[in-house]
Amino acid sequence: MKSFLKLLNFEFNRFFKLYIGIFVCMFIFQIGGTIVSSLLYKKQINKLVNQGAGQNTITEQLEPFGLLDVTYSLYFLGPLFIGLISILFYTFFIWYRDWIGKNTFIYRLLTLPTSRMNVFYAKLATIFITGLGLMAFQLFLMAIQSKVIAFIIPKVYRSDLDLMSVVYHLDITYMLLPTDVTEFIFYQYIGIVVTVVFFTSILIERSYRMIGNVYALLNIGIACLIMLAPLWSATFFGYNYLYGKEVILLVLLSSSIVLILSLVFSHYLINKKVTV
Amino acid sequence: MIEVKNIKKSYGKKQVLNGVSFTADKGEITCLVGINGSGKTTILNAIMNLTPIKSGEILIDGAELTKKTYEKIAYIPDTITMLSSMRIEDAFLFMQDYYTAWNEKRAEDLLTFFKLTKDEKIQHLSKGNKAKVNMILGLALDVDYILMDEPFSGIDIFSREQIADVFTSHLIEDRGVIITTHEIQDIEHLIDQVVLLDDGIVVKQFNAETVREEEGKSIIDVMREVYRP
Repeated sequence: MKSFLKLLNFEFNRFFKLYIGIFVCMFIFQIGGTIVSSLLYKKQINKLVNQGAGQNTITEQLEPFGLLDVTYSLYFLGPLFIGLISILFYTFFIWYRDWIGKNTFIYRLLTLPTSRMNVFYAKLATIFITGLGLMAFQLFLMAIQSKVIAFIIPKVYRSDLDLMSVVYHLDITYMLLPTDVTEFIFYQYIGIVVTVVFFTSILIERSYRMIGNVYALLNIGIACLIMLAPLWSATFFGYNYLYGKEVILLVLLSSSIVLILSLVFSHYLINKKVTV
Repeated sequence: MIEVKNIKKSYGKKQVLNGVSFTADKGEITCLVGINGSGKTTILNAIMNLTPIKSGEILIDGAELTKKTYEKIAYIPDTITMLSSMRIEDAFLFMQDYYTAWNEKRAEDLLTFFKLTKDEKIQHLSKGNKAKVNMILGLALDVDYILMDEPFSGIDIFSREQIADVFTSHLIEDRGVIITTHEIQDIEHLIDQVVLLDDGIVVKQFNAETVREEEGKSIIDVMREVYRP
Protein backbone atom coordinates (compact mmCIF):
# COMPACT_ATOMS: atom_id res chain seq x y z
CA MET A 1 0.00 0.00 0.00
CA LYS A 2 2.82 2.36 0.92
CA SER A 3 4.56 1.70 -2.39
CA PHE A 4 1.30 2.23 -4.25
CA LEU A 5 0.74 5.61 -2.60
CA LYS A 6 4.32 6.67 -3.31
CA LEU A 7 3.95 5.63 -6.93
CA LEU A 8 0.61 7.40 -7.18
CA ASN A 9 2.14 10.60 -5.85
CA PHE A 10 5.05 10.18 -8.24
CA GLU A 11 2.82 9.57 -11.27
CA PHE A 12 0.54 12.47 -10.37
CA ASN A 13 3.49 14.84 -10.07
CA ARG A 14 4.69 13.77 -13.51
CA PHE A 15 1.34 14.82 -15.00
CA PHE A 16 0.97 17.91 -12.86
CA LYS A 17 2.46 20.50 -15.26
CA LEU A 18 0.35 19.34 -18.19
CA TYR A 19 -2.68 19.10 -15.90
CA ILE A 20 -2.26 22.67 -14.70
CA GLY A 21 -1.83 23.67 -18.35
CA ILE A 22 -5.22 22.14 -19.16
CA PHE A 23 -6.82 24.00 -16.23
CA VAL A 24 -5.28 27.31 -17.28
CA CYS A 25 -6.46 26.78 -20.87
CA MET A 26 -9.99 25.97 -19.67
CA PHE A 27 -10.02 28.96 -17.34
CA ILE A 28 -8.79 31.47 -19.92
CA PHE A 29 -11.07 30.36 -22.75
CA GLN A 30 -14.21 29.62 -20.75
CA ILE A 31 -14.10 32.63 -18.44
CA GLY A 32 -12.77 34.90 -21.19
CA GLY A 33 -15.44 33.64 -23.58
CA THR A 34 -18.17 34.18 -21.00
CA ILE A 35 -17.00 37.74 -20.34
CA VAL A 36 -16.83 38.57 -24.05
CA SER A 37 -20.21 37.05 -24.92
CA SER A 38 -21.87 38.67 -21.88
CA LEU A 39 -20.43 42.05 -22.88
CA LEU A 40 -21.60 41.57 -26.46
CA TYR A 41 -25.07 40.74 -25.20
CA LYS A 42 -25.03 43.80 -23.00
CA LYS A 43 -23.93 45.88 -25.97
CA GLN A 44 -27.02 44.69 -27.83
CA ILE A 45 -29.19 45.74 -24.87
CA ASN A 46 -27.52 49.15 -24.71
CA LYS A 47 -28.00 49.60 -28.46
CA LEU A 48 -31.73 48.93 -28.11
CA VAL A 49 -31.92 51.24 -25.09
CA ASN A 50 -30.21 53.97 -27.09
CA GLN A 51 -32.78 53.44 -29.85
CA GLY A 52 -35.41 54.19 -27.23
CA ALA A 53 -36.67 50.64 -26.70
CA GLY A 54 -38.25 49.87 -23.36
CA GLN A 55 -37.62 46.85 -21.16
CA ASN A 56 -40.55 44.90 -22.62
CA THR A 57 -39.47 45.55 -26.20
CA ILE A 58 -35.94 44.43 -25.40
CA THR A 59 -37.08 41.18 -23.75
CA GLU A 60 -39.32 40.56 -26.77
CA GLN A 61 -36.47 41.14 -29.23
CA LEU A 62 -33.65 39.47 -27.34
CA GLU A 63 -33.68 35.98 -25.93
CA PRO A 64 -32.63 36.07 -22.26
CA PHE A 65 -28.98 35.20 -21.73
CA GLY A 66 -27.70 32.69 -19.21
CA LEU A 67 -25.22 29.98 -18.39
CA LEU A 68 -27.03 27.56 -20.65
CA ASP A 69 -26.18 29.72 -23.69
CA VAL A 70 -22.55 29.70 -22.62
CA THR A 71 -22.44 25.90 -22.39
CA TYR A 72 -23.47 25.51 -26.03
CA SER A 73 -20.66 27.72 -27.24
CA LEU A 74 -17.35 26.75 -28.80
CA TYR A 75 -15.34 28.55 -26.12
CA PHE A 76 -17.01 26.35 -23.51
CA LEU A 77 -17.09 22.99 -25.29
CA GLY A 78 -13.70 23.43 -27.03
CA PRO A 79 -11.53 23.65 -23.88
CA LEU A 80 -13.64 20.95 -22.18
CA PHE A 81 -13.03 18.59 -25.11
CA ILE A 82 -9.35 19.51 -25.16
CA GLY A 83 -9.19 18.60 -21.46
CA LEU A 84 -10.98 15.31 -22.00
CA ILE A 85 -8.90 14.43 -25.06
CA SER A 86 -5.71 15.30 -23.15
CA ILE A 87 -6.64 12.86 -20.40
CA LEU A 88 -7.57 10.22 -22.97
CA PHE A 89 -4.24 10.81 -24.71
CA TYR A 90 -2.45 10.62 -21.36
CA THR A 91 -4.12 7.25 -20.69
CA PHE A 92 -1.76 5.90 -23.38
CA PHE A 93 1.12 8.28 -22.85
CA ILE A 94 1.32 7.43 -19.14
CA TRP A 95 2.75 4.05 -20.23
CA TYR A 96 4.53 4.90 -23.45
CA ARG A 97 6.44 7.82 -21.95
CA ASP A 98 8.42 5.25 -19.92
CA TRP A 99 9.37 3.31 -23.04
CA ILE A 100 9.63 5.58 -26.04
CA GLY A 101 12.69 7.50 -27.23
CA LYS A 102 15.76 7.48 -25.06
CA ASN A 103 13.65 6.95 -21.97
CA THR A 104 14.42 3.74 -20.15
CA PHE A 105 12.58 4.59 -16.96
CA ILE A 106 10.51 1.46 -17.44
CA TYR A 107 13.65 -0.52 -16.41
CA ARG A 108 13.44 1.22 -13.03
CA LEU A 109 9.68 0.91 -12.63
CA LEU A 110 9.72 -2.81 -13.37
CA THR A 111 12.65 -3.53 -11.07
CA LEU A 112 11.26 -1.80 -8.00
CA PRO A 113 11.02 -4.15 -5.02
CA THR A 114 7.25 -3.98 -5.06
CA SER A 115 4.46 -5.69 -6.96
CA ARG A 116 4.46 -4.59 -10.59
CA MET A 117 0.71 -4.27 -10.34
CA ASN A 118 1.31 -1.32 -8.01
CA VAL A 119 2.75 0.50 -11.02
CA PHE A 120 -0.39 -0.45 -12.95
CA TYR A 121 -2.76 0.68 -10.17
CA ALA A 122 -0.84 3.92 -9.59
CA LYS A 123 -1.18 4.83 -13.28
CA LEU A 124 -4.85 3.84 -13.21
CA ALA A 125 -5.53 5.92 -10.09
CA THR A 126 -3.72 8.89 -11.65
CA ILE A 127 -6.02 8.81 -14.68
CA PHE A 128 -9.07 8.39 -12.45
CA ILE A 129 -8.16 11.22 -10.09
CA THR A 130 -7.21 13.61 -12.88
CA GLY A 131 -10.49 12.80 -14.65
CA LEU A 132 -12.45 13.51 -11.48
CA GLY A 133 -10.42 16.67 -10.89
CA LEU A 134 -11.22 17.89 -14.40
CA MET A 135 -14.94 17.43 -13.80
CA ALA A 136 -14.77 19.21 -10.44
CA PHE A 137 -12.84 22.05 -12.04
CA GLN A 138 -15.45 22.30 -14.82
CA LEU A 139 -18.18 22.59 -12.21
CA PHE A 140 -16.17 25.26 -10.41
CA LEU A 141 -15.71 27.18 -13.68
CA MET A 142 -19.43 26.99 -14.39
CA ALA A 143 -20.15 28.50 -11.00
CA ILE A 144 -17.76 31.37 -11.80
CA GLN A 145 -19.29 31.79 -15.27
CA SER A 146 -22.69 32.07 -13.66
CA LYS A 147 -21.38 34.83 -11.37
CA VAL A 148 -19.73 36.61 -14.32
CA ILE A 149 -23.02 36.64 -16.25
CA ALA A 150 -24.87 37.87 -13.17
CA PHE A 151 -22.28 40.64 -12.71
CA ILE A 152 -22.47 41.91 -16.31
CA ILE A 153 -26.09 41.39 -17.33
CA PRO A 154 -29.04 42.84 -15.38
CA LYS A 155 -31.33 40.24 -13.82
CA VAL A 156 -34.28 41.13 -16.02
CA TYR A 157 -32.44 40.07 -19.19
CA ARG A 158 -31.02 36.87 -17.74
CA SER A 159 -32.30 33.33 -17.73
CA ASP A 160 -31.05 32.21 -14.35
CA LEU A 161 -30.90 28.47 -14.00
CA ASP A 162 -29.24 26.77 -11.10
CA LEU A 163 -25.98 24.95 -11.84
CA MET A 164 -27.42 21.46 -11.67
CA SER A 165 -30.19 22.31 -14.14
CA VAL A 166 -27.60 23.55 -16.62
CA VAL A 167 -25.54 20.39 -16.13
CA TYR A 168 -28.70 18.35 -16.71
CA HIS A 169 -29.49 20.15 -19.99
CA LEU A 170 -26.22 19.44 -21.79
CA ASP A 171 -25.41 15.82 -22.70
CA ILE A 172 -21.65 16.10 -22.26
CA THR A 173 -21.79 17.78 -18.85
CA TYR A 174 -24.54 15.42 -17.71
CA MET A 175 -22.41 12.42 -18.67
CA LEU A 176 -19.45 13.84 -16.80
CA LEU A 177 -21.38 15.23 -13.86
CA PRO A 178 -24.65 13.33 -13.48
CA THR A 179 -26.84 14.86 -10.83
CA ASP A 180 -27.87 11.41 -9.60
CA VAL A 181 -25.33 9.73 -7.29
CA THR A 182 -26.03 6.22 -8.64
CA GLU A 183 -25.55 7.39 -12.20
CA PHE A 184 -22.39 9.22 -11.19
CA ILE A 185 -20.95 6.04 -9.66
CA PHE A 186 -22.09 4.03 -12.70
CA TYR A 187 -20.31 6.34 -15.16
CA GLN A 188 -17.18 6.44 -13.01
CA TYR A 189 -17.14 2.66 -12.78
CA ILE A 190 -17.53 2.29 -16.55
CA GLY A 191 -14.73 4.85 -16.96
CA ILE A 192 -12.43 2.76 -14.74
CA VAL A 193 -13.27 -0.44 -16.65
CA VAL A 194 -12.59 1.25 -20.00
CA THR A 195 -9.26 2.59 -18.71
CA VAL A 196 -8.26 -0.87 -17.45
CA VAL A 197 -9.13 -2.34 -20.88
CA PHE A 198 -6.93 0.31 -22.54
CA PHE A 199 -4.09 -0.43 -20.10
CA THR A 200 -4.38 -4.16 -20.80
CA SER A 201 -4.24 -3.44 -24.53
CA ILE A 202 -1.12 -1.32 -24.04
CA LEU A 203 0.52 -4.17 -22.10
CA ILE A 204 -0.48 -6.58 -24.87
CA GLU A 205 1.20 -4.33 -27.42
CA ARG A 206 4.27 -3.94 -25.19
CA SER A 207 4.47 -7.72 -24.80
CA TYR A 208 3.89 -8.83 -28.38
CA ARG A 209 4.94 -5.64 -30.21
CA MET A 210 3.92 -5.70 -33.95
CA ILE A 211 1.37 -8.50 -33.80
CA GLY A 212 0.45 -7.12 -30.39
CA ASN A 213 -1.28 -4.19 -32.11
CA VAL A 214 -3.76 -6.63 -33.64
CA TYR A 215 -4.22 -8.48 -30.33
CA ALA A 216 -4.70 -5.14 -28.55
CA LEU A 217 -7.45 -4.07 -30.95
CA LEU A 218 -9.03 -7.52 -30.60
CA ASN A 219 -8.93 -7.12 -26.83
CA ILE A 220 -10.75 -3.78 -27.05
CA GLY A 221 -13.29 -5.27 -29.49
CA ILE A 222 -13.99 -8.31 -27.30
CA ALA A 223 -14.23 -6.14 -24.17
CA CYS A 224 -16.78 -3.87 -25.90
CA LEU A 225 -18.73 -6.90 -27.07
CA ILE A 226 -18.94 -8.32 -23.53
CA MET A 227 -19.62 -4.99 -21.83
CA LEU A 228 -22.40 -4.09 -24.22
CA ALA A 229 -23.80 -7.64 -24.45
CA PRO A 230 -26.97 -6.73 -22.50
CA LEU A 231 -27.69 -4.00 -25.07
CA TRP A 232 -26.86 -5.74 -28.34
CA SER A 233 -28.22 -9.13 -27.34
CA ALA A 234 -31.65 -7.57 -26.69
CA THR A 235 -31.67 -6.19 -30.24
CA PHE A 236 -30.05 -9.25 -31.78
CA PHE A 237 -32.32 -11.82 -30.13
CA GLY A 238 -35.36 -9.60 -30.39
CA TYR A 239 -36.33 -9.40 -26.73
CA ASN A 240 -36.98 -6.13 -24.99
CA TYR A 241 -38.83 -7.13 -21.85
CA LEU A 242 -36.11 -5.88 -19.50
CA TYR A 243 -36.56 -2.63 -17.62
CA GLY A 244 -33.96 0.07 -18.05
CA LYS A 245 -32.59 -0.51 -14.56
CA GLU A 246 -32.24 -4.23 -15.21
CA VAL A 247 -30.27 -3.54 -18.38
CA ILE A 248 -27.97 -1.22 -16.38
CA LEU A 249 -27.48 -3.94 -13.78
CA LEU A 250 -26.58 -6.40 -16.52
CA VAL A 251 -24.13 -3.87 -18.02
CA LEU A 252 -22.58 -3.53 -14.57
CA LEU A 253 -22.27 -7.30 -14.37
CA SER A 254 -20.74 -7.66 -17.84
CA SER A 255 -18.38 -4.73 -17.11
CA SER A 256 -17.30 -6.40 -13.88
CA ILE A 257 -16.48 -9.57 -15.82
CA VAL A 258 -14.39 -7.49 -18.25
CA LEU A 259 -12.70 -5.72 -15.33
CA ILE A 260 -11.73 -8.94 -13.55
CA LEU A 261 -10.52 -10.65 -16.75
CA SER A 262 -8.53 -7.56 -17.75
CA LEU A 263 -6.88 -7.26 -14.34
CA VAL A 264 -5.95 -10.96 -14.28
CA PHE A 265 -4.58 -10.74 -17.81
CA SER A 266 -2.68 -7.52 -17.04
CA HIS A 267 -1.17 -9.17 -13.97
CA TYR A 268 0.06 -12.01 -16.15
CA LEU A 269 1.41 -9.70 -18.86
CA ILE A 270 3.23 -7.27 -16.58
CA ASN A 271 4.85 -10.09 -14.61
CA LYS A 272 5.54 -12.67 -17.29
CA LYS A 273 5.34 -11.20 -20.76
CA VAL A 274 6.16 -7.54 -20.91
CA THR A 275 9.50 -6.65 -22.45
CA VAL A 276 11.59 -3.50 -22.09
CA MET B 1 24.97 -17.66 -7.11
CA ILE B 2 23.16 -16.72 -10.32
CA GLU B 3 22.36 -19.82 -12.36
CA VAL B 4 21.29 -19.44 -15.96
CA LYS B 5 20.06 -22.82 -17.16
CA ASN B 6 19.46 -23.60 -20.81
CA ILE B 7 17.55 -20.43 -21.60
CA LYS B 8 16.04 -19.94 -25.03
CA LYS B 9 14.67 -16.76 -26.50
CA SER B 10 13.66 -15.62 -29.94
CA TYR B 11 12.57 -12.33 -31.46
CA GLY B 12 10.09 -13.35 -34.13
CA LYS B 13 11.84 -16.00 -36.22
CA LYS B 14 15.30 -15.01 -35.03
CA GLN B 15 16.59 -17.29 -32.29
CA VAL B 16 18.69 -15.02 -30.06
CA LEU B 17 19.42 -17.42 -27.21
CA ASN B 18 19.54 -21.09 -28.02
CA GLY B 19 20.11 -22.84 -24.73
CA VAL B 20 22.46 -20.55 -22.81
CA SER B 21 23.77 -21.88 -19.50
CA PHE B 22 26.34 -20.45 -17.12
CA THR B 23 26.76 -19.56 -13.48
CA ALA B 24 28.03 -16.42 -11.79
CA ASP B 25 29.30 -16.63 -8.23
CA LYS B 26 29.23 -14.05 -5.51
CA GLY B 27 32.63 -12.37 -5.08
CA GLU B 28 33.52 -12.88 -8.74
CA ILE B 29 33.35 -10.75 -11.87
CA THR B 30 31.81 -12.69 -14.74
CA CYS B 31 32.15 -11.14 -18.17
CA LEU B 32 29.77 -11.96 -21.02
CA VAL B 33 31.56 -11.53 -24.31
CA GLY B 34 30.12 -11.74 -27.79
CA ILE B 35 29.71 -9.81 -31.00
CA ASN B 36 26.80 -7.37 -31.43
CA GLY B 37 23.48 -9.18 -31.43
CA SER B 38 24.85 -12.22 -29.64
CA GLY B 39 22.26 -11.82 -26.89
CA LYS B 40 24.34 -10.37 -24.04
CA THR B 41 21.84 -7.65 -23.12
CA THR B 42 18.94 -10.08 -23.57
CA ILE B 43 20.53 -12.38 -20.98
CA LEU B 44 20.80 -9.54 -18.45
CA ASN B 45 17.22 -8.47 -19.19
CA ALA B 46 16.06 -12.06 -18.76
CA ILE B 47 17.85 -12.37 -15.40
CA MET B 48 15.98 -9.22 -14.26
CA ASN B 49 12.68 -10.53 -15.68
CA LEU B 50 12.55 -7.61 -18.08
CA THR B 51 12.00 -9.85 -21.05
CA PRO B 52 10.30 -13.25 -21.13
CA ILE B 53 12.21 -16.39 -22.09
CA LYS B 54 10.77 -19.23 -24.14
CA SER B 55 12.23 -21.95 -21.95
CA GLY B 56 14.92 -22.57 -19.37
CA GLU B 57 15.35 -21.40 -15.84
CA ILE B 58 17.10 -18.59 -14.02
CA LEU B 59 17.82 -18.96 -10.31
CA ILE B 60 19.25 -16.42 -7.92
CA ASP B 61 20.62 -18.03 -4.77
CA GLY B 62 18.63 -21.12 -5.67
CA ALA B 63 15.28 -19.37 -6.05
CA GLU B 64 13.32 -17.81 -8.89
CA LEU B 65 13.18 -14.04 -9.02
CA THR B 66 10.46 -12.32 -7.00
CA LYS B 67 9.83 -8.66 -6.16
CA LYS B 68 12.04 -9.05 -3.08
CA THR B 69 14.95 -10.18 -5.25
CA TYR B 70 15.26 -6.60 -6.52
CA GLU B 71 16.63 -5.74 -3.08
CA LYS B 72 19.59 -8.04 -3.67
CA ILE B 73 20.30 -7.63 -7.36
CA ALA B 74 20.95 -4.33 -9.14
CA TYR B 75 20.90 -3.71 -12.86
CA ILE B 76 22.91 -0.99 -14.56
CA PRO B 77 21.76 -0.90 -18.21
CA ASP B 78 23.65 1.02 -20.89
CA THR B 79 21.32 4.01 -20.60
CA ILE B 80 20.22 5.86 -17.50
CA THR B 81 17.15 4.49 -15.78
CA MET B 82 15.95 7.72 -14.23
CA LEU B 83 13.85 10.53 -15.62
CA SER B 84 16.03 13.05 -17.39
CA SER B 85 14.03 15.88 -15.81
CA MET B 86 15.28 14.84 -12.36
CA ARG B 87 18.23 16.32 -10.53
CA ILE B 88 20.73 13.82 -9.15
CA GLU B 89 19.38 14.47 -5.65
CA ASP B 90 15.82 13.66 -6.86
CA ALA B 91 17.11 10.40 -8.28
CA PHE B 92 18.75 9.57 -4.94
CA LEU B 93 15.53 10.42 -3.11
CA PHE B 94 13.58 8.18 -5.45
CA MET B 95 15.96 5.29 -4.75
CA GLN B 96 15.80 5.92 -1.01
CA ASP B 97 12.01 5.93 -1.19
CA TYR B 98 11.67 2.53 -2.77
CA TYR B 99 14.77 0.48 -1.85
CA THR B 100 15.59 -0.47 1.72
CA ALA B 101 18.98 -1.55 0.31
CA TRP B 102 19.79 2.05 -0.71
CA ASN B 103 22.96 3.28 0.98
CA GLU B 104 22.91 7.08 0.92
CA LYS B 105 26.40 7.37 2.40
CA ARG B 106 27.85 5.24 -0.36
CA ALA B 107 25.93 7.23 -2.96
CA GLU B 108 27.42 10.46 -1.60
CA ASP B 109 30.92 8.92 -1.59
CA LEU B 110 30.54 7.79 -5.17
CA LEU B 111 29.28 11.22 -6.18
CA THR B 112 32.45 12.74 -4.72
CA PHE B 113 34.56 10.03 -6.36
CA PHE B 114 33.09 10.85 -9.76
CA LYS B 115 33.34 14.61 -9.08
CA LEU B 116 29.63 15.25 -9.57
CA THR B 117 27.27 17.49 -7.63
CA LYS B 118 23.78 16.65 -6.44
CA ASP B 119 22.01 19.66 -7.91
CA GLU B 120 22.88 18.81 -11.50
CA LYS B 121 19.99 17.92 -13.78
CA ILE B 122 20.36 14.54 -15.45
CA GLN B 123 19.38 15.91 -18.87
CA HIS B 124 22.23 18.43 -18.72
CA LEU B 125 24.89 15.81 -18.00
CA SER B 126 27.28 14.54 -20.65
CA LYS B 127 26.98 10.92 -21.79
CA GLY B 128 29.92 9.94 -19.59
CA ASN B 129 28.47 11.64 -16.51
CA LYS B 130 25.07 10.05 -17.15
CA ALA B 131 26.81 6.68 -17.20
CA LYS B 132 28.47 7.53 -13.89
CA VAL B 133 25.15 8.52 -12.30
CA ASN B 134 23.62 5.32 -13.64
CA MET B 135 26.46 3.41 -12.06
CA ILE B 136 25.97 5.18 -8.72
CA LEU B 137 22.29 4.23 -8.74
CA GLY B 138 23.29 0.59 -8.98
CA LEU B 139 26.42 0.55 -6.83
CA ALA B 140 24.87 2.46 -3.92
CA LEU B 141 22.46 -0.38 -3.35
CA ASP B 142 23.61 -2.88 -0.73
CA VAL B 143 22.99 -5.83 -3.00
CA ASP B 144 24.70 -9.17 -3.52
CA TYR B 145 24.73 -9.04 -7.31
CA ILE B 146 25.24 -6.32 -9.88
CA LEU B 147 24.54 -6.63 -13.58
CA MET B 148 26.24 -4.10 -15.85
CA ASP B 149 25.52 -3.72 -19.52
CA GLU B 150 28.30 -2.09 -21.52
CA PRO B 151 29.40 0.36 -18.82
CA PHE B 152 32.18 1.74 -21.04
CA SER B 153 30.13 2.21 -24.19
CA GLY B 154 30.73 5.59 -25.85
CA ILE B 155 32.56 7.06 -22.88
CA ASP B 156 35.83 9.01 -23.03
CA ILE B 157 39.06 7.44 -21.80
CA PHE B 158 39.24 9.36 -18.50
CA SER B 159 35.68 8.45 -17.54
CA ARG B 160 36.43 4.86 -18.52
CA GLU B 161 39.41 4.88 -16.20
CA GLN B 162 37.28 6.24 -13.39
CA ILE B 163 34.64 3.57 -13.91
CA ALA B 164 37.31 0.86 -14.18
CA ASP B 165 38.73 2.08 -10.87
CA VAL B 166 35.41 1.23 -9.26
CA PHE B 167 36.07 -2.44 -10.05
CA THR B 168 39.26 -2.46 -7.98
CA SER B 169 37.60 -0.71 -5.05
CA HIS B 170 35.70 -2.08 -2.06
CA LEU B 171 32.48 -1.19 -3.89
CA ILE B 172 32.66 -4.38 -5.90
CA GLU B 173 34.36 -6.64 -3.36
CA ASP B 174 32.32 -9.63 -2.20
CA ARG B 175 29.61 -8.96 -4.72
CA GLY B 176 28.77 -11.04 -7.74
CA VAL B 177 29.11 -9.01 -10.93
CA ILE B 178 27.97 -9.92 -14.41
CA ILE B 179 29.25 -7.48 -16.97
CA THR B 180 28.96 -7.23 -20.73
CA THR B 181 31.57 -5.18 -22.52
CA HIS B 182 33.35 -4.66 -25.79
CA GLU B 183 36.16 -2.76 -24.11
CA ILE B 184 37.59 -5.86 -22.47
CA GLN B 185 41.12 -4.44 -22.28
CA ASP B 186 39.93 -1.89 -19.70
CA ILE B 187 39.09 -4.53 -17.14
CA GLU B 188 40.79 -7.66 -18.47
CA HIS B 189 43.00 -7.97 -15.39
CA LEU B 190 39.97 -7.81 -13.08
CA ILE B 191 37.76 -10.44 -14.68
CA ASP B 192 37.40 -13.82 -12.97
CA GLN B 193 35.08 -15.74 -15.26
CA VAL B 194 34.57 -15.29 -19.00
CA VAL B 195 31.53 -16.51 -20.91
CA LEU B 196 31.97 -16.41 -24.68
CA LEU B 197 28.72 -16.28 -26.65
CA ASP B 198 28.13 -16.92 -30.31
CA ASP B 199 24.99 -17.69 -32.28
CA GLY B 200 22.91 -17.83 -29.13
CA ILE B 201 24.98 -20.40 -27.30
CA VAL B 202 27.88 -20.38 -24.85
CA VAL B 203 30.87 -21.45 -26.91
CA LYS B 204 33.29 -21.35 -24.02
CA GLN B 205 33.31 -20.52 -20.32
CA PHE B 206 36.63 -20.29 -18.55
CA ASN B 207 38.43 -18.87 -15.57
CA ALA B 208 40.66 -16.04 -16.75
CA GLU B 209 43.33 -16.63 -14.12
CA THR B 210 43.56 -20.37 -14.79
CA VAL B 211 43.92 -19.85 -18.55
CA ARG B 212 46.52 -17.17 -17.90
CA GLU B 213 48.55 -19.39 -15.57
CA GLU B 214 48.15 -22.76 -17.26
CA GLU B 215 48.05 -21.79 -20.94
CA GLY B 216 49.73 -18.40 -20.82
CA LYS B 217 46.87 -16.83 -22.74
CA SER B 218 45.05 -13.60 -22.17
CA ILE B 219 41.27 -13.31 -22.54
CA ILE B 220 41.76 -11.63 -25.91
CA ASP B 221 43.95 -14.57 -27.05
CA VAL B 222 41.17 -17.00 -26.21
CA MET B 223 38.62 -14.74 -27.91
CA ARG B 224 40.75 -14.77 -31.09
CA GLU B 225 40.87 -18.57 -31.02
CA VAL B 226 37.11 -18.79 -30.64
CA TYR B 227 35.89 -16.00 -32.90
CA ARG B 228 38.69 -16.09 -35.53
CA PRO B 229 39.81 -19.72 -35.67
